[in-house]
Amino acid sequence: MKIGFAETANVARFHAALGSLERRGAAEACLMVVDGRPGLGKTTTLQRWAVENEVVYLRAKKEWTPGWFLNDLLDEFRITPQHSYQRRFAQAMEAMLSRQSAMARAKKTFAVVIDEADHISRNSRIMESIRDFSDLGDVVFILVGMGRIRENLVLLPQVASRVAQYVRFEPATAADVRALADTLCEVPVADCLADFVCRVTDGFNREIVEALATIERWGKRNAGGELVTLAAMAGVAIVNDRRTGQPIIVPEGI
Amino acid sequence: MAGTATWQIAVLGAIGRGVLTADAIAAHLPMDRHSVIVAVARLVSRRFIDRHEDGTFQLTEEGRAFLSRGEAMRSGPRGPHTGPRPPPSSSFRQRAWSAMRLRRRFGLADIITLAARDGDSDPDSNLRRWLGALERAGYVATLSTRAGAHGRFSRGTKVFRLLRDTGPLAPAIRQGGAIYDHNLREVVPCRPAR
Repeated sequence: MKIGFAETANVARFHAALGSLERRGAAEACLMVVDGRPGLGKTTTLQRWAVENEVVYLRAKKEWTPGWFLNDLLDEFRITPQHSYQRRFAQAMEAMLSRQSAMARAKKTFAVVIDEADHISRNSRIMESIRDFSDLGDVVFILVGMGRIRENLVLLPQVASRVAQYVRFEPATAADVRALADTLCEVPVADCLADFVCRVTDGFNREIVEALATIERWGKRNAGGELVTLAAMAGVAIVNDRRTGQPIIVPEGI
Repeated sequence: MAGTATWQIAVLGAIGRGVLTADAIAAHLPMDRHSVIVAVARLVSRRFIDRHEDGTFQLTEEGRAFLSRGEAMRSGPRGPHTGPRPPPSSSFRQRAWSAMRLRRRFGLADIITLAARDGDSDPDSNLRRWLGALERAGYVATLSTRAGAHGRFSRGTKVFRLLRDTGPLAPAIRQGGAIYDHNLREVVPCRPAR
């Protein structure tokens, strides 16, 4: 497999939402929610953006408390946390504002990404701390989760009103599978086969990449690097079904 | 890099004991007006000359003393950098280091997927060379498991783990093979390559 990153429709939607967030009207509305089912490329997209922009990237834990959250945040800035919550909050705020102004000089947006935010979306104490950072310092927080954040934020309207952008990662389209095949696969993949992969994987990136790896192996061995079509791969187990765990076989006679 | 502040010395000498405008200095020296303005601004910040309200310049006591001593003037920094520093440059290795800190356990493909951009020349061999040096300096370790061994005869690819996360700035390879850690501001010895 080639190494690369395919610009799918989800990635484009995320970048469009970031642009809208930077041009937002209300300064205090600087929360963004990114959600979608597992395996749709949320973490890779967010990590790639984080690496480019030197943002702080945290992974929420199931048992996170406000104190633990602040400790993890301060650890990202290499700051030794002080004892009281009040002082740690001040330390974190100062560090974030300092980084924010440095990033502004470089014409970049400073943000804190919290992955696996489903764990904290019902924890009003942590969410209120995030709201405080957001209100007091206009710090952008991006909450990434698997789909329960929106529902849980209904219970916290004071936080939900600060969400400027919602981005939902949707299953890959046929065009996305085409882009993934062109970016990752070392053998050319016919459109009919790409459409079949899109259909049987339900558009989940993880399964699509697995299927493309199978196609590449098969293509190198049996097609000599030529175009691999659906008919040529008839009878080959292309990927396992996510729901049943059973292999999906390319049907004969197509 | 600091050099000889030729223009500033010339302007300082041209003003001498007089009181001159920037135009008069430019007429006196083989310099254009913009270069004169840049030089007088730097001399004002060094407190060697004063700018009067009518746009004329005159040497301060400090400036006269400096001129009489006949010392060389350097154009470089005049003190330690104590202000806020800009964020790290967006080089491939800087992005790769950020990606390693995010992933902790990673393969080459993971890092290149996150860190490589269109303009990077040969990120694969760049990362291999750098990871080799980081491993010899004890920053990363190779795990015994291998990733992506799908084929029957495939050995898969190496999997690494970040051992020393010293901060946000990427360690750099120095001439001679040692690693310079910008976070610790120290040279970390590196075991020679086999």
